[in-house]
Amino acid sequence: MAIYSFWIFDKHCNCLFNREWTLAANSSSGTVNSKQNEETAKLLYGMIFSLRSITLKLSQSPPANEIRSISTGKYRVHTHCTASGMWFILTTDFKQQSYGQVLQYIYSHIYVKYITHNLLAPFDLAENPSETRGQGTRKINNRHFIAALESFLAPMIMQ
Amino acid sequence: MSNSSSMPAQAKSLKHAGEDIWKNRTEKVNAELFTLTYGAIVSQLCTDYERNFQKVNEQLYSMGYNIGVRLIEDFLARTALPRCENMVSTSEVVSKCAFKIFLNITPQITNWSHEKDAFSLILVENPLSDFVELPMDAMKQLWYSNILCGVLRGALEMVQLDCDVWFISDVLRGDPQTELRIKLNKVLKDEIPIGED
Amino acid sequence: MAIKAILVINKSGGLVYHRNFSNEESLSSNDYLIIASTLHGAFAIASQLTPRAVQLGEASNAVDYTIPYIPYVGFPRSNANQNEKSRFSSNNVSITTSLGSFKGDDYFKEPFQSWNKSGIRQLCTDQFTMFIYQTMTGLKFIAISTQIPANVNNSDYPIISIQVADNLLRKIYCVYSDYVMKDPFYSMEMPIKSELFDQRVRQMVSNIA
Repeated sequence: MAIYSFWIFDKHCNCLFNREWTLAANSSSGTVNSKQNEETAKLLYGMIFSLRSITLKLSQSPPANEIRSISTGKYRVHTHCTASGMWFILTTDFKQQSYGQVLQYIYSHIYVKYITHNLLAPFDLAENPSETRGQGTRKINNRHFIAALESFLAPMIMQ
Repeated sequence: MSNSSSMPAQAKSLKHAGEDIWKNRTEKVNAELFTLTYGAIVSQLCTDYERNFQKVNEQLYSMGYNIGVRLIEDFLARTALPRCENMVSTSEVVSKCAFKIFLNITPQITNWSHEKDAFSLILVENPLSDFVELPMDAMKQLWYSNILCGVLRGALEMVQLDCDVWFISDVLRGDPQTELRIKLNKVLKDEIPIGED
Repeated sequence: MAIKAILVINKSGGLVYHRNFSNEESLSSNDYLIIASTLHGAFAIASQLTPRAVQLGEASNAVDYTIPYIPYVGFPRSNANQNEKSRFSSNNVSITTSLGSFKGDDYFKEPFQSWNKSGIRQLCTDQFTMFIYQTMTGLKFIAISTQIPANVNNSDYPIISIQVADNLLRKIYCVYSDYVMKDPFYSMEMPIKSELFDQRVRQMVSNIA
């Protein structure tokens, strides 16, 4: 099993979307926007946030030093941060070193296409200040977005 | 818990690892120098504490503790052994690796408690006491090699095993054998480094 | 894999040693203290985030924590090449004596198990890669290397460099066990001021470049 989960965070530290796969044999297994993953999302965000503060501190003047991946003995986390403050995150096994292009593709061809270009969707899911700072609970539920994401990632799950 | 069938193979490889590290990986010092140095320390302590042997025992124990908490790093850096799953494998590592690497002896493991949380090490040889005869007044009270108890206690504590370690008998005191007891109080679960699983 | 910095963090997250090898202006000691405790925290969080599929054992290939022995990491190149020949030659003596209480021409020679299973082992960024080796007593040895992982397609490559880093960091642990743990005037958990330790680390790192 190559891909374990996928996450999107916005600039307000809110988790906008999460997808976790649990069975290698079944690419539609697992959960979408699960309540159980709220805590995990906070931990994941917190870890990347604090590691980012380190890498920025240790970096040489601009260009900004972004995290590409974080590995443990069991799994690997790949991150892609956009200038608009969105984080696209994928947890995977070790077979492939870089999922940078995969995340870039999800951002530019799936997220931008189905969410940003969809004028009926709010450009910011946090509607008021009380939904910022990680307090927001709104999720992306756009069917087309989810379908496109599933069909793009499904072949990689079994890899 | 490791199943019992894998134990002999594991024990054998531990024995092999211990011997290899002792023979090929570790610099040695002269054994007489070592024995004499330890002897000098004990006899000086007896003088300093005016032959209050209870105090001497305590002092040796605490010196040992301070050695143990440091020596464990040497042991782990040298062996890189994985964490023991139970006291049975701990006893194997202590006897076949630790005692082998640092003192070139392999004490016998025996007298397991019913719960498998306490065992004895029989020191057939003891390099600390090679040339020693206890004076009459020390016979009943002094645990000459008590430093070993402290070392074991300190080292085990650093790998999150809270143990009591004490001598039960010593050939120096006229006993038939030298027996050292190790009893696990508890595994300090909260202190096991995160990330080990 | 040039090393930019080596850090040692004690079991409670306090920085006990740091050495910057690059010429770039270095951060203040306070910054390093913050980095150490932040890493300590992030490391712990990482182990809470093990994906459900891995927990369920769905990961197709079981994870292997064995790190192969890579000969003579941190030793001068010439030594590594002619080592087998010079085993009995006189020049070997100086090498042997320089390993402290470790006998032979290398600190260890066997593959070993990593104690760090679910904590962070590698952090790749645009400008550097960080490696973390944690001991059974909770010490963390950290190397920051200038290696940039981007655009490497060979899937063996990143694993190899983790393994080189783990070999190097275990050797620094060996040096620590001699020059720090056996320094009678060192107090446990306190900053390491040992000149000898520092020298050995610098020497080893300069041989990596």
